[in-house]
Amino acid sequence: MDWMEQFQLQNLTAQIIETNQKTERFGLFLSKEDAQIIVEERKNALREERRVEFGTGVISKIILEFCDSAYVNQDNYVGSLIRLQQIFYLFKNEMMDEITDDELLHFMKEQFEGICYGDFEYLEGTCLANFAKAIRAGYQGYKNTDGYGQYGEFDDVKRWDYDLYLEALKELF
Amino acid sequence: MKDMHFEAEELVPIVAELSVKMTGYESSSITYEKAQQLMEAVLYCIQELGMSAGEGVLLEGDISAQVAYARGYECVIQKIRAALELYHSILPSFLSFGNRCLEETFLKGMPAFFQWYDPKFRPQDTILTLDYPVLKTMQGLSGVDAIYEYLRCIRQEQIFLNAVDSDAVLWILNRYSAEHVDIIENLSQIVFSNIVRHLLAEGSYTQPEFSEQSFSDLGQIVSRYSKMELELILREKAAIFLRTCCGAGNELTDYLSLCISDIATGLKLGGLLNLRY
Repeated sequence: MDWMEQFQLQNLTAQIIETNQKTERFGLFLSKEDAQIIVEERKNALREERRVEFGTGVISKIILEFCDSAYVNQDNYVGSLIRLQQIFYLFKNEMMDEITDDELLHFMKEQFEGICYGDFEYLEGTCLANFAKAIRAGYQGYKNTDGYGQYGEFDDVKRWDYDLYLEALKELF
Repeated sequence: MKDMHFEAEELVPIVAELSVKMTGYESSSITYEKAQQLMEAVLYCIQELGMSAGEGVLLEGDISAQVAYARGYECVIQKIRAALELYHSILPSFLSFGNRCLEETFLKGMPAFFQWYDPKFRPQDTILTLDYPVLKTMQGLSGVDAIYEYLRCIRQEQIFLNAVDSDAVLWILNRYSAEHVDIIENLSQIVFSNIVRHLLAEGSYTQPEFSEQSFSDLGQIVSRYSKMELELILREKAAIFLRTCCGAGNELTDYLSLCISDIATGLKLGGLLNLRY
């Protein structure tokens, strides 16, 4: 596998720093050192998940997808990107490459914001795990929506119900 | 065969290009297994070019890995066409004598190969298990190379089986095994074995059945010669027979000669006890 490991050693640092142009307005900025850490962690994550990345890789897309997240700020920016990168490669495998990069990223962002409230453990252990199980069983509904609006099909937790809230409110008052 | 050796650095961009195409430009990464598969695909095509060099394919000076791959891929495509042509040439006069293994492999398996073979992303994949055994080993061959060589063997066998009287073939096969339709053995070898024993015993072949005298003569001849001497005699007699009775060229003679060693061994070790056909 030596040739594959060599292939991973691409200089992505410049590409990652370039994303600052779009993320700065959200208060997010990566230094050269931050970018190098992310590139190194990318290498580790790819090796762990036994994947080979070519071209520009996915990290720029992850940055642009999550830069407007309510749960990502400058303090946790690098750590969040590293975590998202790991989760992304893991679930490309778990979903057996049936899902495109964009579909997976859209699903991840939607769940991260709406269901997980910024919790990576919940994103990985519940939302993505359930979704991956469905895809392995043959589910393809996400192809029509580019990965958006899918989790309702698999959510096994009763979530916010407006009618129930109104009824409870009436009983209280 | 021209040596087509390239460093990994030269091949990786080709693998990258293939992986982008394979994922439909929608995925930025692939698994190690897929990457390995694509590297093997690239190497297969380059090797195909190397094999073709000297068979009318000109290779002038040093060429890049990219060019070697592209030209090798074209060679693979040409070989698929040649294999399909060969298959279609065999089909009209195809004889199986009811043998299920041969029918499954040739009549069902081969069309499936041509339908599913993927020269771009998996040229190294033979797809079929080629259960019907031919006399030539396919070891070291894969993908369309294996299929093409296999079809060449089947063609030679079919030329031979078509040249021999069908009733005689059926008699021989029935004597060999009452369940000959279910055996997974080479039919040509069974029929050829009967013929060469007659050539050895009687000097000619007229019918498949052995008379008592022929049987006795065969036993004496077998005991007189060593295995190596028997082989030489069988090869000579077989070559003359195939030339005169089947109009066989060198290819058929060379092909059927592959089983003469086994036949000679069978005669020496098994004696006549196993000569049921």
